[in-house]
Amino acid sequence: MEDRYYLPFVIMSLAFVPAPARFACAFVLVLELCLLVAAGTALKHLEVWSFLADYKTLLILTAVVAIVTLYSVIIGVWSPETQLQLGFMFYLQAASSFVISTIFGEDEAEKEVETDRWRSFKKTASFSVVILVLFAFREIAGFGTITYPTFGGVKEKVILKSAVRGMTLFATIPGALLCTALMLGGIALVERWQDIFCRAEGIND
Amino acid sequence: MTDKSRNLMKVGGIMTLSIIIMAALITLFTRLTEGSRAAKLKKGVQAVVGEEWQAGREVKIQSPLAASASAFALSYNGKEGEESGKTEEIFAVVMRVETLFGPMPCVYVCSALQEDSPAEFVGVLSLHGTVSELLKNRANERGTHSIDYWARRVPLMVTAALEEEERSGR
Repeated sequence: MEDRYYLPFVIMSLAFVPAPARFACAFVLVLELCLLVAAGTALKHLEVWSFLADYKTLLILTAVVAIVTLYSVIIGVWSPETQLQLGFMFYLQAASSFVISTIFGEDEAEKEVETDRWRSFKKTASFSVVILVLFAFREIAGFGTITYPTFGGVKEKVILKSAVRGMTLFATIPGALLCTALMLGGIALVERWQDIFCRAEGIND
Repeated sequence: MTDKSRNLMKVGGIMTLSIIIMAALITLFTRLTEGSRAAKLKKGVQAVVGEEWQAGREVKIQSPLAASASAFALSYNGKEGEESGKTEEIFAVVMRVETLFGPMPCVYVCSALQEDSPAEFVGVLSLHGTVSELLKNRANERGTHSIDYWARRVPLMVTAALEEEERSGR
């Protein structure tokens, strides 16, 4: 195993714990995460840095903060209630170790641009899928509804007319912690199995 | 002037300029889109308060405790204040409240004259089913619940916003 995904997953998923268990909110946050990683990676590889080399990190971080603020305003126009709900959580993503480590994670001088872009894309895409699945499960089980983004704003569809009382736990903050712990345990277990299989194949060869 | 200080001035200039441009863009965009944001929130509030009440003009709430809160004057069957048969002006306030289920856009209804009596919690934007009922039931149990805390704060916020509006002559 080259990359150990689950450590950044542990830290990053904690930034999603205070978010309400609504799929539309997770979609907005995941989109922001992808936007930040894409913009950060693109800015890092710009050709204009030769005379600004010493201030590159500072300038990229300034751009990240500006992107988050503008993104929050755009979401406020598209769906004010989502912006109202998420509040400071927009800024939590920008300060998250996932974004910082994905953008500045490796020694960029020795890395090829394509490899770096591919590494960032793979890491962010897998994390996004896991978070979206987790939030969809929490919303359906906990609220009995599913919210989804449309061009006109966020729409809600009632799936379970009367949600099962015990399942409401998954929509709460303690439920989010429980789900995150279970998810991370699962990922760690899969990584361990993969490790064992890789070693076993090595011995057989 | 040395090369290093010239370079530093260049970077400082670029940084300052980019920050000014970004701040100007964000402020301009926020100002341009204020109306559309308020209209969408009003629509959401209207759905929560029911058909007999109509959400009208927006009152700007400038409380640092609830920076994102918005208040709308309510009219009863199209009539405001005394015309509606109600003796006081009624307001609907939508704001973010931390609950057990994370932050929720809660809607309160209160009177501008009775700042001592708590506002009534009427529901959550775009939330139906068991959890919505659960939140409403918990809000009715007066205690230390966050929904109850804000129910006591909302009338004070609305009164302060109205006084501010009067002072600025709107």
